[in-house]
Amino acid sequence: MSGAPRPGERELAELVYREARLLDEQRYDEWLALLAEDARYWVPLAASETDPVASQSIAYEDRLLLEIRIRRLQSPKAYSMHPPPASRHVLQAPVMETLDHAANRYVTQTPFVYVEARGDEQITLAGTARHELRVEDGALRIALKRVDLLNAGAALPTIYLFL
Amino acid sequence: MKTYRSDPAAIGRLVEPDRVHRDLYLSEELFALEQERLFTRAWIFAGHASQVPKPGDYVTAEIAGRPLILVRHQDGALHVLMNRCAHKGTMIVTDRTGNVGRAFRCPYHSWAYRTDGTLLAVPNPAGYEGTGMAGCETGRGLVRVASAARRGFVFARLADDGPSFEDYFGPALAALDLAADRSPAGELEIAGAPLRSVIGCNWKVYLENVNDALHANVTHESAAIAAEAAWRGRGGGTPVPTALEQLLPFGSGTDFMEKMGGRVFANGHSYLGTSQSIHSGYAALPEYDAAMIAAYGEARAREILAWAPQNMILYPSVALKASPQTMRVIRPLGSDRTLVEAWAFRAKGAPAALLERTQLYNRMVFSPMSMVAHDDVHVFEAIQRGLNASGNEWVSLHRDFARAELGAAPFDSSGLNEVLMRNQFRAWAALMAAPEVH
Repeated sequence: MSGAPRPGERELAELVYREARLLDEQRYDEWLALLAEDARYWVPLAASETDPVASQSIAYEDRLLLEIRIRRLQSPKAYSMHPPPASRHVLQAPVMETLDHAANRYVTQTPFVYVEARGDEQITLAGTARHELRVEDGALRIALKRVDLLNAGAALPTIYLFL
Repeated sequence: MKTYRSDPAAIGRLVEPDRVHRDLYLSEELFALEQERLFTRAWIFAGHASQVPKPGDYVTAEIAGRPLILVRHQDGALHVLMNRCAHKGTMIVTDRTGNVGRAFRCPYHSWAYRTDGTLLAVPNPAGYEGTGMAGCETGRGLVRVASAARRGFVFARLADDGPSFEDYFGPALAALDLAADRSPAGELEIAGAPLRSVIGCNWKVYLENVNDALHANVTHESAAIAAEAAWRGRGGGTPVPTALEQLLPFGSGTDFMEKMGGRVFANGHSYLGTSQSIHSGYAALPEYDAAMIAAYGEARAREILAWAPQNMILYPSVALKASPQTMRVIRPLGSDRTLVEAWAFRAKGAPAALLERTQLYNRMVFSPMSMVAHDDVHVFEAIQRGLNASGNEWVSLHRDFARAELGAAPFDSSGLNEVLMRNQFRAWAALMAAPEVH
């Protein structure tokens, strides 16, 4: 990832790709390091949702909850990790929605297919990931990752890892 | 081959006083009989009045495999109708919610029905003159089923005869009052859509777990330890954030769980946590408490706020919490597949923070991505597969069994007494009895 103070489209796309790769490789400490201190990870129940606090969500987590989630995944007592799930994010090229150097605000939209396998079962989900990014101490950080599943309101199977 | 349908006594033999046979969870035939008997005879949650505030508003639901519509009629009354055109059988509406105006209209041949189900019009009616259409089932329109409501919670009974709403729930009907009284206005409203999860287990595995206090600090140890470690890593201290206030008690010890207390009622209903629960320690919200005291007076308000059981079950479809204001609806899809809906309630007259607490709890504990539910789901699905093992065809429900509990309801117990589950299976056997031959 570039440390350029004025990231271009390439740097933004690289960050989105790297973020997905870190999740798929379960390199969670490095993933957490990509997040701003006030970052949020949001999986709304509908694409029309604008307020994560005033609505039901599949997930809406700050760093503390994300750290808890990761610690749990790494615990020998996390029974759902047996057999261990594995994920693959298949990303389309990110669309640059906002590239505002003056406001230090960068937004990308990335359509994706998410596959999660566990034992003999495999699920496939699709959606769009929206990354709101900013430069902090010379590096791009994620302020918000919002994941809109195509079928967020449907009866969903268990999703063990991170979309 | 003998079947459970041809041998009614065999169903009774599956439920012993202190254990049940694995066929309750595995048998496809029993699942079909449950759809035919248990889920038509019992009063099942159909929807909440707050989902359909205006005439013509409707929500759809499925009970015992039957497609249903809960709709508000022009006169304000609520009706539960079969979602099936009287003509060819088309589902009349296919959205989960909507407003139909004054009449339902079938997309196939434009038959129209009033929102009480009666037939309003058919196109080119001359073609039916002199036929038997008007005098048979078709002429009666959309089939209306028995429904009843309390504090906005609407239940339906599909069978033509059976216990009344009041007789079926008995004193457990107070669960709905205990939940609704949490609102300063005495009214709960559904807030948004439910979180919906499909789990690969029989619905009874899920429902008995709702009353299983003993699993919490085993199954959820990883979540409780992770929460504690993450908080300690940040310096710890008090007050803890609301998320931790909700997560940490999952690690409560067996002694705490035993002292929670339980109460079972006739027909499978129950309260777990009659004296305390993992929800008892939530910090007071001063603005909310003030609104409650203004509405009910100090003494009554404190009494309402102190009631925070783990779960109140209205067998077999509802698991309700008074605090946080959340409800799970259990909807069986197959012998090994269950849909669980987690709904959030807004307590009318309460500050927004109360609803935020409910929504936080739902997404942390009941979401398809929940770090708490993941270990539950793992166990439920492992039970569904494990029961296929041979050498032991029985599921143990022996803990604290005592003859005195038989036929005694309401019956008070400790929080760990498996009477909380035995009581569900006794209701199951009664609701599964073969129909009387007239």
